[in-house]
Amino acid sequence: MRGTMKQEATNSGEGNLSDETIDRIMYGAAAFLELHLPSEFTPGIRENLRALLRVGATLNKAGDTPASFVEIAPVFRA
Amino acid sequence: MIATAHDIAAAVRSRQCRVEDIVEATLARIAASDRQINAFTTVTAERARARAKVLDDRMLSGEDLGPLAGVPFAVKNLFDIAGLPTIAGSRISVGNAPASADATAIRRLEAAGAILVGALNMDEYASGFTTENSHYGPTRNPHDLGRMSGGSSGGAGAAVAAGMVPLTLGSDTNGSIRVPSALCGVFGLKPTYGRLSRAGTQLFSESLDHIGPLGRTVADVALAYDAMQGSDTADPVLAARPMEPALPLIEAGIADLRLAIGSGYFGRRADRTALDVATFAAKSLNVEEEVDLPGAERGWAASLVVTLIEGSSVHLSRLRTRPQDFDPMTRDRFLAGALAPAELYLKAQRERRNFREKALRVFERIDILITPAVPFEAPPIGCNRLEVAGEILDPRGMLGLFTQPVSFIGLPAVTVPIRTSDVLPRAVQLVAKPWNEQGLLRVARALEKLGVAAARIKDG
Repeated sequence: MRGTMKQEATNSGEGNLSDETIDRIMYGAAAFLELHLPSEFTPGIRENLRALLRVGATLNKAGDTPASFVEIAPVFRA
Repeated sequence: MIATAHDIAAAVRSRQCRVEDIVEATLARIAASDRQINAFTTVTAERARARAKVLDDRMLSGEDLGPLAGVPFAVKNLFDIAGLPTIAGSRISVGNAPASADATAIRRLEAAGAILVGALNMDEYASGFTTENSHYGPTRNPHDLGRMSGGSSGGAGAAVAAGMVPLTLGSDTNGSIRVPSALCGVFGLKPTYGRLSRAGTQLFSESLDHIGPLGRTVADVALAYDAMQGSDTADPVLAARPMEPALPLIEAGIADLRLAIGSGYFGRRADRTALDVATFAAKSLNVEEEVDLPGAERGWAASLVVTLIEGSSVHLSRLRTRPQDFDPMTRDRFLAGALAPAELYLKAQRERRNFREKALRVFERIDILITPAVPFEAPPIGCNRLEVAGEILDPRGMLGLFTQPVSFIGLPAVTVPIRTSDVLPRAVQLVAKPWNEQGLLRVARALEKLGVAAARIKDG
């Protein structure tokens, strides 16, 4: 288990998470949000979530200055 | 059928024709064409006829009906229409209570004399670029019925291109006005974020949603855009801006504007014709400078993250109670957005801010950027693999390649259809700094006057 976690930690930087890790994120958040995920939905959700996490891994590489939350608030004005 | 909104309004105001005749001709045209196109989900014939009678009576009494007198228009079915449920391309929202009032944009167009004739097909909850709606069927491209109309405002693009109405309203989160305008060959304006009120529309992504007009000519788009400007406390992100009408300026020429053609991000991952059309448009205006928007590629990626996470939040209660009633592709995307870690959203928003700062610096040096509107012509309906510039791509996502970074940072943009000898339309996108819609429409009009740009309307 410890080995698995270490592997995941390494891979997560590149967004290459195992199905098991994706599912833990998926079901953990679903429980909090009170979302029911029938088994027939999970392949599609997993694929989309993996894509999102991969995109996220490419964002904000070293050198970027993090913005404060106010500056990046969802209600965005052009 | 009179061609343009401008011509219709002029004919009505000079009493050359009655509004009731225009409405009957429009309804007949819709009945004849829409069996093939599938642009309309509702035709509001009774309402249109009643309003036409009122307008004719007001005309007879000497009243000026306004700049859009008697102009028929239709709206993407995410705009509230009083008395109808706002379905937003979904099966789920069919059961909603009927809207108690029209959306602000509809009220403003009608205050200017226009007449609503119906609601238009779209991708479910605006999540898509193709209008291959699994509940209501695909909206077909009028220029080739086997091809996509684009989306998510596909009905809005196709209804104008098929000559059913001269003017439509769409919404644009990542390109949903500009993509169908390009694939169907009509003009489509996405104003600056915060310029036009979205009150009374079903939102997709709060910080990305815009509304705007699609039409046959630059003047028609400007007419509608001008009529929809103004303050509205019902939309919390509407900017406190003065009215800045564009129509009076579209003939002003472009001598004082600094133009450039997109390079780098905007010069690759598109087919040869898409790039050549942008070059042709630029050369016709003697534009030689090439400019890239640094960070556009990362902006494109980040926009996807923000879209899905914000979209999932809008639909969370529906995802809890009726997930099986979504289109499966929409549902899976929204559920993934709902389950994504918050840090991902914050990273994407930081990327957005960085990209915007870099892009605004570019717009200190230039006024208008010319890019391809979409990377390729309208793909066949059902197509999910396409070879473009040596890459195998899924066109359903790639249609937004050039539009998505632009709306991510709120810049105004207009799709301009370019004349070619091809069967299917081609188009360029013009992009400006915030609040310079007037500049965009001046350049679009210059292309139109040169004969380089023209809407492709399937008459007859």
